[in-house]
Amino acid sequence: MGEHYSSIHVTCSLDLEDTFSNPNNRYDNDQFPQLLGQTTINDYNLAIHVLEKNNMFTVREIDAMINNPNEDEIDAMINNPNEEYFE
Amino acid sequence: MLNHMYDTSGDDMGARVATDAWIVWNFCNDTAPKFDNDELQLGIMFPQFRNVYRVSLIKKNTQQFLQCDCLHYERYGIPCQHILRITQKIEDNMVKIQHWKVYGTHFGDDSVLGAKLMEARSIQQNNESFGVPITMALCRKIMFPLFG
Repeated sequence: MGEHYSSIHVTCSLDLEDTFSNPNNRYDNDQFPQLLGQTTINDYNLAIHVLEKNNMFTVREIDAMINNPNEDEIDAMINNPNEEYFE
Repeated sequence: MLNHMYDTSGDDMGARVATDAWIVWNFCNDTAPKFDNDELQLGIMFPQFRNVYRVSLIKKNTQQFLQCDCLHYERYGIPCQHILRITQKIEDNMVKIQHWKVYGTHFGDDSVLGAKLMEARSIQQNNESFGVPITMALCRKIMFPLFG
């Protein structure tokens, strides 16, 4: 799970810079991210993944990612919306 | 509504991703819509999305604003719970002047307060696209949380 999300994090954090409206935003790898409260690094990586995909995931897909973070299975679920996942 | 959002904002998760940018989300809250006599189980079928919201700090001259993707402030005139998650504080100026009690009683009258309300609304309209205004003290607190 950790390896899966860290690979996502590396690819997503690079793209994220362009998504912020303020062009003065800068990423400092030594300082950020700063997690607030009870937030864990896994929560953060999942959030970055969702943000990278423009918030396209449904409640069920997110729950599946949290409970079973298998990339192949999630892809299958997204690509086959009429299959067992949505029954 | 504002008090409820303030109370529930603590459940949200968040992270500061840049000097002037945060992300806030909640993947655990129950967002399922409730339908009366839901024989067709529309509540289950209804597509619901989990969103991650971005909050940016915007500086204009000597003023600071927090702007959130959800645009709650732009619609209702009160800050969203994503912004409250970051500020953890509600200030008077974060609520649009139209919601102030004195607005209904003094706006447009000949009193000094009426004139100040008109002036404040004019300033608010000029800055409407920047988001929720925050004071310098609150800005310092969220920028340097350890020392705020």
